[in-house]
This record gives sequence, structure tokens and C-alpha cells, in this order.
Amino acid sequence: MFRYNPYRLGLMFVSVLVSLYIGFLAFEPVEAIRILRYGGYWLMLGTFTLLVLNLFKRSQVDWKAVCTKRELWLWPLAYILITSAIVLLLQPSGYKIVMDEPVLATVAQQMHAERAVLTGVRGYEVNGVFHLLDGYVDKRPYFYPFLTSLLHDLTGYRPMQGVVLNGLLTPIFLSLMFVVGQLLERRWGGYLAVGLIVTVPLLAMNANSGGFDLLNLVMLLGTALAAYSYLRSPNTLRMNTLILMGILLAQSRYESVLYIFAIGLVVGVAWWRKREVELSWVAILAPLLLISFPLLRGIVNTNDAFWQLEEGMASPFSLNFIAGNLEHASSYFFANNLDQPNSLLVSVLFLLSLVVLSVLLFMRRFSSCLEGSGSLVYIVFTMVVLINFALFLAYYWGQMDDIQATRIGLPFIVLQVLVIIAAFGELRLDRFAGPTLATVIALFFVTVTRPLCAKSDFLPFGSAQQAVQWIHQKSAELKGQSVLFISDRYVVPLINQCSSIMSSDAIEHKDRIEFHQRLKTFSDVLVIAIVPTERANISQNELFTEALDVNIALNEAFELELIEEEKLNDAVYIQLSRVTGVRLGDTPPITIDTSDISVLPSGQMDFKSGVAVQAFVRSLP
Amino acid sequence: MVLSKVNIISARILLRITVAVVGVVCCLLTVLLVEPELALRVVRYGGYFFTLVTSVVFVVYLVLSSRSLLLCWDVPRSQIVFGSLSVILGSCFVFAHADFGYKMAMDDYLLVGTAKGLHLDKEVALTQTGSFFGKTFVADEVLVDKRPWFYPFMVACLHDLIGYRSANPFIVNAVTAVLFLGGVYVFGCLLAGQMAGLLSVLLWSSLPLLAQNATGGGMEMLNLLMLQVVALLAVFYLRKPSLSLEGALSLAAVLLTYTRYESGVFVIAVAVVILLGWLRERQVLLAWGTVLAAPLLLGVVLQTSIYAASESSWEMMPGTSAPFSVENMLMNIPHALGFFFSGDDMLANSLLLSILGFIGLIAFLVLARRELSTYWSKNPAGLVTLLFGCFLLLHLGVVMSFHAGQLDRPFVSRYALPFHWILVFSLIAVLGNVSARWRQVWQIFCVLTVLFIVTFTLPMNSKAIFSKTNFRVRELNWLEAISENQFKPRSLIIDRVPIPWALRDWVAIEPQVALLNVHRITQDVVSKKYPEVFLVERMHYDGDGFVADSPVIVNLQEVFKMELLEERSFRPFELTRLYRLTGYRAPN
Repeated sequence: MFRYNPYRLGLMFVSVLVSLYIGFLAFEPVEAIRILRYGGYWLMLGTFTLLVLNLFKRSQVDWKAVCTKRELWLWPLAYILITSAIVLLLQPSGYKIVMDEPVLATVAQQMHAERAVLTGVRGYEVNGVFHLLDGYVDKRPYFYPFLTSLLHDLTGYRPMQGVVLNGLLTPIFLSLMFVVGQLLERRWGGYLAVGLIVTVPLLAMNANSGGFDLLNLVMLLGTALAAYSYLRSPNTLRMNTLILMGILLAQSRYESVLYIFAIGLVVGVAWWRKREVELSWVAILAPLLLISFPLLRGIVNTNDAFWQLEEGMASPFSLNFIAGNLEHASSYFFANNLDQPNSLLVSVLFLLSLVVLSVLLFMRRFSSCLEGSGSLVYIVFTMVVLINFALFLAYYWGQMDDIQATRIGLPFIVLQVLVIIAAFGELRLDRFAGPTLATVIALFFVTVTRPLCAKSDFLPFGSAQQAVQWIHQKSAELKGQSVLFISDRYVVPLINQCSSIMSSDAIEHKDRIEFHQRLKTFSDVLVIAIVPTERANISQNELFTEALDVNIALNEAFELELIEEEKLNDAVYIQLSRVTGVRLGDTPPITIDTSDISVLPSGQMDFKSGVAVQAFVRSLP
Repeated sequence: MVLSKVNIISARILLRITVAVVGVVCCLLTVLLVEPELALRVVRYGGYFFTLVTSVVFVVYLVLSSRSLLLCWDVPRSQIVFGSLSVILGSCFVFAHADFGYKMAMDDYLLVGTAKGLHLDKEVALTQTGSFFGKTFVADEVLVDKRPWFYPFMVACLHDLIGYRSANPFIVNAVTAVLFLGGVYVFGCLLAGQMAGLLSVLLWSSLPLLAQNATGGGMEMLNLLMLQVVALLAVFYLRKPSLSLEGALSLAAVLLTYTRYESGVFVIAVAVVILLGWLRERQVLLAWGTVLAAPLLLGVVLQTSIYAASESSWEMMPGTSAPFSVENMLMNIPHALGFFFSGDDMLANSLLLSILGFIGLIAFLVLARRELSTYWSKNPAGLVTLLFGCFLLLHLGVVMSFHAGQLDRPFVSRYALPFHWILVFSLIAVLGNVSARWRQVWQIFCVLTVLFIVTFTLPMNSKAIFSKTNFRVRELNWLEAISENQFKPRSLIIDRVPIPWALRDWVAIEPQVALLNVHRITQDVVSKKYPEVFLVERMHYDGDGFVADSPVIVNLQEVFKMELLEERSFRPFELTRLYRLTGYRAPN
């Protein structure tokens, strides 16, 4: 018979019902957008604060004892710091996936400045202050932007703060990797696990990027360890850690919400063992802390553009994609060229490990070094990683050898490494096996991974990534000079706190641009355009045709003076031009009533009623 | 023998009382009888020495009282570590988004200009216009500013020690802010214990106004530090009254008066504290520092009396009849509430501190009636909080009765800075009482304050709208950058605002002066005295286009040929243009 507190059980029931109602039934997408925009930050802050307080309570460590047992942590610490430095030096820092990462950066910017979950689409530096005036709630989970915004809060705003965050997360990830590896094989597991994952250039790419995938790995391993800790010795404090970690993991990447089921299972097993339904206040609150997920999904599902589906495609997921995507996955895992950030060593050892484990299982010699709790966590989390990987393969954009999608396979790669370590542990080889494997890993790193990373950044040549880098550099140079940028990569100047609008908005509101040219609101209005060359195969590339159309429209609307251009590759140039005039045509010029403005004897302007100021704000393009 | 000793003590006290009375009478006579011109000269040439003597004697008294200070506050090492960590944490919050630079135009420029005058000539005067005599930039016209000069004096001392640097005003304020947080921690500890010290530091760190002034070039930060120093000395003095502590306390009050106009009200509070000390000791102590206080205040009293008589120095707004009045106060109350309880980031307030602080203040005033005897016998910090709280309420009343005392104007908000002292410490005093029954109260309030700092204060400090909207500072920074990069050295600048130019050793004159000296300027250009001449024009939008704010500029444009060098709008409907003069248009 199970023991339980009937009041808490009742409250839990109510909490689940309320969460389901709020998450799925109560709000239309428009209202859900408003709730997420203004409430999302606070929900995240609440969860994160509870986790920090929980970890603080759990960290009542006897530091004197820790200091005296130096041999336990000194070598691992040194090893993790050195490998972190190696990982961070393997690849150049900057945006790698240039749609996702700048978007995450602008969400973080807005969370920092306004406590709103919002992706900016137009912003202005007026009167010395940068204001984001318009935006939308994006599909991406926002735990990563939240942490970036915290870093902004604590250390000051930086456009590349996301990269800094990933730099800080790298040693944390490798530490977790070490601990999990050590749990799987007590003597060498930690060292080997870290060594193996470092041979994967994809890790270095993500550690030096502004994306959320490294955070997802940290949360995944952290949650798995919290589950292990809870199962070993179940108590309220440990259960709260697990639940809060799980809630934050669910908001680290789209598909990570599935780990909630794994956590539910772990908690269920613990209750079963104790014959008690133990419900903490955090557990009761948990469904409410998760409501942002269904709200966000609701918003995404009503907007097809978020799925970026190609024409004629009915659903983003289909079993038909699996066969093709498996081929792409194998092409990634076993690639031996400059295009793929893979580790052939990990892939080969993983296959061997599968064979070894199968044989051991068949021979009934399989007895994991983990006790029951560890095995359960290992199996449950492995299942969810595999389900997620299967989902990825069934996704229309699940080609793992496409650099835009490769990072989605990172949890599976981590699993590969842990399977290798588990197999290594099961073999129970003599004491030379660990150093031997470590030597192999080191040799592979020196002879394959390092040269590979030195030769390639794995990004397509002349791609949008270089264009974004160029725009980032220009906007950083012109920051604070009251310049307005017009471009299709409008987010990048916004991240640098420069005035920026979309090309289409500028064309549509050219009369406003003309008005602010007269008002001298901006010291310069600069147009950034992508210009295909004659060698470019324009007809076969949709991006080129779109760029050409935009350029024609811009030239029709504005008189432009070329300031600078740079070749991105043989097919594309990027140009920076100054707007010297606006071709208004039949559009009447804008005028506003300035009769309430006067100049005080001190020389200062006196805006009596504020009408002119309001008109000024409304007239911004 | 005993009788003769009593007589000697009495004779000593009598002498001090006589000197003190003579000092006060002389001061009053000086203020009443000395002509403004002579008074101005006394301030200009003697002002430096007033602050120098006061500071030196204050330091001597502090050294003399350091033994009794240490005895009276026996601190375990762990508390020093905890206190240091608290101050470091508070400083990290205050300086996390530090953007060092001038925040108030023209106040900060005038103070820094005075500091330069104190450093170079030991005169309380700043250069309005200057010219080159050989290689040296010499002042042609100087101004004795209306502002008290203890902050410029401190900046001048730093110039003296490490050489003249434009960053020195900001270094002084940054160091002052850290010392202030240290003082806040100590006062919090004295009032209600170690956790109270931490919470006091956190509550102050939650105030963006503090960060704004800690990174600016104004006198508010030093004023706050001196207020804290006076309060601490008052507590130590009341714990164990002594001659050295009394002297230090009196001179700290003098220096506080030299820091900001209205801080003079605390002289009365200090007098009350000294009397309470005598009452506690059942003895008249009367240190020489106290005796000297009145004569040492002469400089600031003379300066105040000169400027109080001049209507222009009050910068009266149109429609206001008196600089201070009850009507002003009534009209400014909504503005004050608007500042303290503002929820947006346009103003540098701390909503948390205002809400908790005002509740705490009311509770403290109610509680004080019951706790007064406890404060008197066991906790002088409570007594000082109550006494200073009353004077801070008076201080706020003075600020609000001022015609320009609208605290919800970004450039006036800083006047409210001292009042936050009582908001913080009345709350701490109340929580001290609560903690006797509920120990977790400190942890809860600390977590709440840290959350508030992270979610409200730090983003506000990062955006710093309350500082950045001061377009004049941005304009002056822009002009400075252009002049450094594009102007030939020793060029002449024609600008309505010449003081910032003179501060950086540029020859600058006002447009009216230029118009009167057209031929001389032309000759100076021909004779290569000035390699180039630049004109700064400020314009506003009138619906059809931009027109010059001042007709004198238009007249100059008729006389001189000029080319547009740069133009920039620093706020909507305004434009600043910079021209290079290229020739002279002979009249037809």
C-alpha cells in the first residue's frame, strides 16, 4: 500500500488540470503570444531561482575535507581545464548557424533590456538610447537566451555574449562528461569519455558558437546525474533538483521536452521503491512551470512559416524521410573529408562497442558496473535520446551531413561516447587497456581532429555566415554613430544596438525615410545588399533571384552611392551603399505639426504637449 | 589639589567657549559686513585653504580617535571577511555596467573646471576662456562657481598626487562609492548585525541613481560618503564620547557642508549629537575641532551668501516667484512620488527600496517611540538613524520646496540621493526588531533584493536611459572626438558653451564676442595665430527646415565664409553643426 498526503495529491491534481487548461485550452495564439512575451521571462526566472536555491541548499560541503582530498579532484580538474582550452581553441568564435544564433542573441538582448521574450525586427537608436520597437515571439525555446541575458545583466551587454556563455559552459559540460564516464568505468572512464568527445569537431563548433546545443547537452547530462542521485537516495531535495533540471532541460531545445517522461519514470520508480507518493511543493508547481511549452507549441503550430516547409510538403515529419536521412547520417558519421565535423574514431568504436555489448549480452556476461539505479537511468535516458534521434531522422530537414542540421545529432554522439565507455568497462581489460585507448584517442586527435579543424570551419564558402560576419563587423564599427541600416539581415545590426530595418519595410515606407533624412535623425542611412555576379547561376538559386528583386526595388526607391563592397565568393558580392536621396514619385512627403515646439532662453527645446514627439515616433520607418 | 584640577579644566573649557563664541561672532560679522566683491575674492583665493586646513585637522582627529574607534568596535576576523565580500558584491553590482563619463551638463564640467583651478592655481575658480601664452594655456576670464568645492578639492588633491588626468574626477567618485558601501556595511552592522550590513549594501546597490553618480563627475557621491562618515562618527561618539571623536565629528560636518549646498542642515544634527554626548558623559568636552568649526565654515557661508543674493544664480524658471516656497513644495510632491514609485526605466529609482523603505520609515517612526530608551542605552546607531532621519526629511523638504525640485526630471533626481539613506536604515532598524523573532528575515530580504537587482537594477544600469538622454553630454563628447581627430592644435572655437573647451585647453569664445571681434579674428587667422577657426551652431526644426537657435550665428555666417564640417542630431528636431571658417566676406 502506498503512503501519500491527500492534500498534496489533490493540489497536484489541480495543478495538472490548471496547467493543461492554460497550456492547451484557455488561450488563442494571439493571447498566448502576449503571455509568453511578457510572462515567459518571469516563469523562467522563477524556475531558475528555485534551482539555484535548491543547489545552494545541497552544496553544504565540508570544504576542509575537500581540500585535504586533493588527489580526488586535482588531476581531473587540470585535465578538464586543459581539454576545455583545447576545445575552445579548435574553431574560430562567432555565429555558425546564422539564422538561429542571431535570433537567439536578439531574444537575449530583449530579455536583458525589457524582460520580454521577443525577437526584434526593427529598432532605433534615438536620443542616445537604443529601442527595439517591433518584434515577434520566436519558435525557439528560451532557456539559452535567458542565461545569456543573465550574463548581460551581470557583466554588461555584449553582442557576442552567447559565445561567451558557451565558452563558460564548455568546462561544465566536460566535467559532467567526466563524472558520467567515471560512473561507467571507475578507473579511466572519465578521462576516456572527455578525450573521445573532444575528437568530435562538432563539439568545438558548438562551444565556439552562439547556439543552444551545448546548453542542451549540459542540461541533459546534469538531469541524468540528478536522476541517478535521486534514485540512489530519494529525498525531497534531490527530487526537486531533478524536477527543476528537467523543466529547464525541456526548454533548452525543441525535442528535449521528451525527457520529462524519463524524469516521470524515474520519480515513479523511486515512489515504488519507497512505497510512498512523495510530493514536494516544487513537484506540485512543476506542471505550471511547464506551461510555456504548450503555449509556444500552440503559437508555432498556427504559423506554418516557423516550420520553414518547402512547397507541397504537408508535414515536417514522415516515415518516408527516414531511409534517406539514415544515408545522410551514415555519410556524416563515416565521412573522411573536410566538410563534416565528425570523429571517425568515435563512429568506429561505437560500432565495435555495439558488437561487444551484444556478444556480452548473448553470453550473459553483462553486468554493468553501475548498480540498479545507474542502469535504470542509463537505459531510460538512452531510450529518449534514441527516440529523439529517430524523430530527427523522420524530420524533413534531418540530413545530418547538412551543417545546418548536424548539431541536432549531438546528444546521439554523446550517447555513442558513453556506449563506448560502457563497453570498455564491461570488457574488464587489464590495467594497460585504459592508457592504450587514451593513447589511441590522443594520436587520433593530433593526427586527424586537429589538422581537420585547422583546415576547415565546416561552413559552406561564401555562405550567409560570411555575410553575417561582415555585417556584424560593419555595425560594430558604426555603433553609436546614429546610422540606420537597411538589410535583409536586419537582426545583426540590432544585436549591435544600431538602428536597423528590413529592406521590404524601407521600400514600403520610403516616405518616412525621406522625412527622417530631412530631420537628420540618422547621420547616415546605409543599405546592405547581396549582389550576385555574372558567374552566379541565378536562375537555379532562389536566394539569388530574391536578392536581385530586392536590389531592383531598393534602386527604384532610393538614390544610392556605393561606399564599399566585398567579395564573398565567386558568385556573390556584398555591398554597402549610402542613401543620398529618396525617389518619392507620387508619394506625398510627410509633414508634422511642430507648432508646440519652442526654444527656451537656455537654448533647450521645449516640447509642450508631446504631440510632435509622438508624431516623430510614429513616423519612424 | 582636586579643586585646582577642576579649576584648570573649567578654565580650559572657558577659553574654548570664548574662542568658539568669538569665532561665530566674527563669522556673522564677516558675512554681514564684507562686500560681495571682497567675499568673492576671499572665496577664490582662500577657499582652497579652508578645505585644506579642515581636511588635515579632520585626518589628525581621525588618527587620534582610531584607538578608541577600534576599542569601541571589536570585530572578529570572520566579520571583516564577510564585510569585505559584501562590499565587493555591492561594488560589482554598482560597477557592472559602469560607463564612466560626465552625466550632468554643465554641473559636472563646472566642478571639474574648478578642480583644475584648485590644482593649478590653488584658487576656487574655473577658466571660462583662455589663450596661449607661449606654450602655456592661461586663463583670460575666470568664474567663481556657486557650487561648494569639497569634491573639486578632492579631485585637485588627486591631480596633485598623480598628475592632471581627465579621468581623475571619475576615479574619485568610484573610490568614494566603494568607501561609501563600506561605511554602509559598518553602519548596518552597528544597527542590527552582520546580515543587516549585507542587506544595507544590497539595498543601496539596487538603486541605479547610486551607480549613475558613482560613475559620473558630480559631487553627489562624495556628499553621500560624508553623510555616512558623519553618521558613523556620531554612533562611535555616542557609544563612548571623547574629545578626539567630537573633533572628528565636527570637522566631518564642516566638510559635509563644503560638499553640497543643502548639506549644511546636518551641522545642526551634529550639534545635537555633540550635546547628547555631553549629556551622556555628564561633562562638556568641546574639542578644538568643534571650536574651529564655525571659522572654518566661513568660506562656504560667504559663497552661499553671495549667490543667494543673486537672482540669476537660482536659474529661476519662468512663472516662479521665489526659489524656495511652500507652493513649490506642494507642487513638487507629486513629482517626488512619481520619482520614488516610478515603474519604468526612465528614472534612476529603485522601486523595491522605495516600497520597502517608506513602509520601513513609517514603521520605524512608530517603533522609535517604544525603542528610544533602548537606542539611548544600548544602540546609539538607532538613535543616530532617528536623528538623521528627521534631518533627512527636512533635507527632502528643502529640496522639494526649491523651484526646480521636480525629482522626476532625470537631472534633478540626484537631489533625492541622500534621502535614500533613511529609507535603507529605517528598514534595517525595523528588520532588526523583526529578526529577534524571525531569524530568516535577513535571508529572505537578501534573496529578494538580489533578484530585484538582477531583474531591474542591472538592466536599468545597462540601458542608463536616465544618463543617456542628456544629449548635451553626448554632443560635447562628439565635439571632443572631432576636435581631437580633425582640428589643428591651437585653433579658435566659437561656441556658446566655451567652458568644456577651456577645460581641454582650447581657445574658445562665445558667438557674441566673436561678432564684436570680427576684424581681430580675421587678422589672427592671417597672422597664423590661429591655424583654423571653427564655429558650433545649434539649430532646431521649425516645420520647413532647421533654423539657428541664436541669431548671432546667422550674423556670423553673413560675415564669414564657412564650410560645413560635420552635423549630427542628438535628439529629435535638434541639430548641431560644426563649420570651418574659410574666409571673410567684406561688406558691400
